[in-house]
Amino acid sequence: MIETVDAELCNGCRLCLDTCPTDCFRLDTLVSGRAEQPPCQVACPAGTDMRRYLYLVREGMIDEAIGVLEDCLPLASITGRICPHPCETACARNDVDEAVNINSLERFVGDRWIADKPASARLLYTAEVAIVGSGPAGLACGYFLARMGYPVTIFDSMPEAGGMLRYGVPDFRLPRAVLAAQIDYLRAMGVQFRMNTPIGGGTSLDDLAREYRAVFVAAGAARSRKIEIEGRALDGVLWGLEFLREVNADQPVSASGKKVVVIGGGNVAMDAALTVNRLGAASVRMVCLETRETMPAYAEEKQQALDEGVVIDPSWGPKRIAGRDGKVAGMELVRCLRVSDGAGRFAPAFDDKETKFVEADLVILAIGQEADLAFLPHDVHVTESRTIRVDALTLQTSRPGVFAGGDIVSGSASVVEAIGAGKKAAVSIDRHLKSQDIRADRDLRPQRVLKPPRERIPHIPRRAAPWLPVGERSGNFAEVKCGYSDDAARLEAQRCMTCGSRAVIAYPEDCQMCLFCERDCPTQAIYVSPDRKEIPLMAWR
Amino acid sequence: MPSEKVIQTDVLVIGGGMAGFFAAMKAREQGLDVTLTDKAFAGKSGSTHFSEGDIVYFRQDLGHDAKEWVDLISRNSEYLNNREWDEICLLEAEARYHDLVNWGVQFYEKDGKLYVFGTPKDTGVGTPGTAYTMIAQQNRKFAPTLRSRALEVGVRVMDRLMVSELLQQEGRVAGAVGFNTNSGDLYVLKAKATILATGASGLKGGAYPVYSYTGDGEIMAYKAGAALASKEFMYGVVYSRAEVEQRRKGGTVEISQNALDVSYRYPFAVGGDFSGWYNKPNLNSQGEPVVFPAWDAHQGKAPLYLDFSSASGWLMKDYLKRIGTPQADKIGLDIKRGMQIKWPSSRIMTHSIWNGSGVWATDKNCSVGIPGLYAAGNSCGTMASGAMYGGMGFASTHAMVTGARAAKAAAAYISENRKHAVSKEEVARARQEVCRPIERQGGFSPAWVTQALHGITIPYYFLDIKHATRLQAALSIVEFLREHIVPKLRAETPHEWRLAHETQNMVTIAEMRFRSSLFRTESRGNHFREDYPRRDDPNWLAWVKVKKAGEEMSLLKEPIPRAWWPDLSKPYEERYPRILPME
Repeated sequence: MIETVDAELCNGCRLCLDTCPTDCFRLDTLVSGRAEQPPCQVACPAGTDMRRYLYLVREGMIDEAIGVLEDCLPLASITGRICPHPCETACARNDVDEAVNINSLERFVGDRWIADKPASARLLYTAEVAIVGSGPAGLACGYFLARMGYPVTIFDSMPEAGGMLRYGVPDFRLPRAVLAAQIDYLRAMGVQFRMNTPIGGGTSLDDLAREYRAVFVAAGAARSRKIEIEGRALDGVLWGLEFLREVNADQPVSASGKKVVVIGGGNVAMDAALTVNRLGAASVRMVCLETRETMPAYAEEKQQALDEGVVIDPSWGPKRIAGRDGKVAGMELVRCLRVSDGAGRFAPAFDDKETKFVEADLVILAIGQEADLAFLPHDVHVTESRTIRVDALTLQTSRPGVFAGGDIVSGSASVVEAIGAGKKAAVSIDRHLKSQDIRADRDLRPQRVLKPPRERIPHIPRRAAPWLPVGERSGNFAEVKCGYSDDAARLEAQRCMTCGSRAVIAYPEDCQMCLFCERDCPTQAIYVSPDRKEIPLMAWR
Repeated sequence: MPSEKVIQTDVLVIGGGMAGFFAAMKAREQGLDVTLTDKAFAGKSGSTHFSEGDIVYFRQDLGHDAKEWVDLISRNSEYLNNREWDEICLLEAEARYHDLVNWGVQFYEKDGKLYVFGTPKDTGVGTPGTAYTMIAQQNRKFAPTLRSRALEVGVRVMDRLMVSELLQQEGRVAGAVGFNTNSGDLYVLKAKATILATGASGLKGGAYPVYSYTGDGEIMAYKAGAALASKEFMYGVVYSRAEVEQRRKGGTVEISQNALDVSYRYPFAVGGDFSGWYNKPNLNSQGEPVVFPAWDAHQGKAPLYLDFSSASGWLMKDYLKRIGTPQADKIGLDIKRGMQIKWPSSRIMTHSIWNGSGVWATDKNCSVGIPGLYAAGNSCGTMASGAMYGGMGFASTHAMVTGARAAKAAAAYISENRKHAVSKEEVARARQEVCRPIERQGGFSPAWVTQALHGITIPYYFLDIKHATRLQAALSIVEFLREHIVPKLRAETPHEWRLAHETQNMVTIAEMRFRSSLFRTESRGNHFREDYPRRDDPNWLAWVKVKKAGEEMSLLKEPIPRAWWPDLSKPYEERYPRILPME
């Protein structure tokens, strides 16, 4: 009869559960009392407990999986679409076959959450909190504070909520309806949205700090960084973020039949290129300083760009924009030899002897974003790189009661980093309002599971999310990446190795001593005794 | 109240062993949407692993003669084998082997060639208990291979899904209702056709591999009006510490399992002449009667030991030839001195891993007499084995062949019938039936009831050495359990919910075993009655069918075709070279 699972040796791979012909085991994915986290969770800026919810998905327990996300990851239907998923890069399954498709599973659970589970939050406190900016950081902070029981108001200068999610990310990556559903969910939780209300205009940050017990500044990095380049005033020169904002605000942008050059190798440049392509451009060429391998846009999007016919022209720098009759006629490019210096600082070097000219009617410059800090009062200190200075642990600014996070602190970063900041700020604000120690127990760097499962794990191919066929993408903004079906989600979740969980002998009396578990266990953690014990049982339940 | 999930599918296959996977893959090949459920983990549970992957290797082009092989099975099965089904299994074995190869299952090779073993006639190597040649799929790898292949081709595999009630509409089966044994979610599985591949029916005797076989499919079909086949024949697996320890060692030795089988399937008392008693020359004795060790014990010779030094020797030598000296060394066999493993046989488990005594197949398409319902593998009552086990490798072959046939028939049924819907009322009825234990407030613990049942099924004097008086006594207790305890089974957790249904099924199976055993007033094969200690030709050249008649369990005698009878003009000893305990 099954006797022991050695807790030290057990790495949580769960093979014993998948090998038991009866029903002896359960898996403890919570593993309370153990500091080690699975690699995916350590890698996630929002600290999402993938192990727990993926196990629940695998068991078909979607409601319970939603419950886990409720605790740790709001906006899952959004991150499930546009997160760069560092969790997958860290996934221990990479050493077995391929990473678990966590991103698609997150989207699956996130979509089900929004569709099936009504929002609820109970107001417990009267201390009101103001949040500046309705981007991912602001939304996440608002979510957690509302969940804790605080009345929250989010201010935003734009007519619709979502910040970069609404005005930066194109529809084909994040449909507006998905974002709107998330925003409605927060509204239903009681979060107030005050739109068309720029802070620094009629209402100042000082006003907010007076009227509210705490303020979270998450105004983002919402404008393009501008460079001096010959020809930048020509008709037909656009800036990346502003271009995307216009398209996303349904302003008419004429690109039909035009030859377009996009300067930049990041995600905004990529979104701009794919967007202008959909607006009917005759050709779209992306020019970037980096090589094809090192350009910062996500690999999946690079592939999408190539699929959709965007030409990527790496290792070139912009020299000047050529014009004719006040309009853009083309660009002169110069060969870029390297992007950064030996210390990793941005310091591009060019070979002036190698140049080329590309024709263009439209040039979109997308070479970086920056924050507008003009609305900040003097007592909120900023850094040399034009971001808000905060305490890294608590996100507290130099002004008591004012916290800041997201791109306005980190500079342009990913959606999940913004969500992580919002989550962190919510904890700080809660403790601040309760006069608790804001720093206590927070400096613990999560420890990674040292020996995740690897040996003797059966290979199962990764399930890629289906994509809209390339032929159906042009001329529209339909979502390009599709979601998992119930079956696909359940099967992909079976690939999760639940690193660092513990197998628990829940029902030893089920054991028939087949020894499958003992013989399959990769770490020899299991011992099945050859003796059968009769367990005295109660007749009644 | 459990939350409810609905799955709509073309073919529902219940059970994830050899038969289930064949049914699922073959249905999928026809372009159907297929859902396969398993109450544990498809590809691991059931008897598929126990079979160790041996399958029959029948090749007409190599001169194999179906009639000759079936004759061997007939003698071994004491004439109650269904010869038509045996022939079908043999003739289709090669095609099913090619299916396995196509699906990526690997077979053992020797010197770069397919490793074939079996009768001395074909291979020069004698394998006791086998009437024909066999090949083996790689130990313990083949079922997981089938699982991955099924997933690859899009079979919806649902683990931990205990299915326990069929959905019926206007006389046809339209799916089933079950629940997840971990989450406790209820699953309504609406299907155009349903294939039972739930394995044999046992009573959780306490040893590997019987814990999965609680007759789940058989009882569902029985409740829906199908007949079940001969429940009086027993098959024993002996539990001992030594057997477990040997299996533990077997983990690192390939092909060792077949050698180890010998050691635990043939217990006998000290000094007994094993081969002289149980193995007559040229007789397939794979289905050694569980009654012998029980009889030895009954005579006061227990504890029992396995002692090869007193065996005549050819058995071990043949095994060692087959597995080779290096392998023998690995598992601790000393070739020169023979195997000296002594162990007490503490309990003999009565149950069935019996290819053929499942839901009565009404035709050669694995139909069970209810439109939309099919059975495959051990849960399909073909009587392909008769009063004793047909021989090694036969159960897997039978599972593959019936799985494929059931899938084909199910596909044809789906295309010929437009009506597949099921009413809300029927779903509600099935739901209530399934949920009763989990929705009850207070009641009996399923595990306790199983223990109570064991008190009248496990001791050898009920089902191994049978007598009308004891069978009648046990039957009275089982009737009491069925009437007064089973309706009050209570489950507190999803795990216990499964136990509640298993217990309920086992109580009915036990009743069938006692009634069938009382009904057959003779001894034959693995059915031994002290009060009727000899075979009774021609009265009992017949099968027993169990069928529901109203609320009663009715028994029917189904004579085998006369053409299959042994030559009654020959003396009894020639017809039955294997002796029974009191002979």
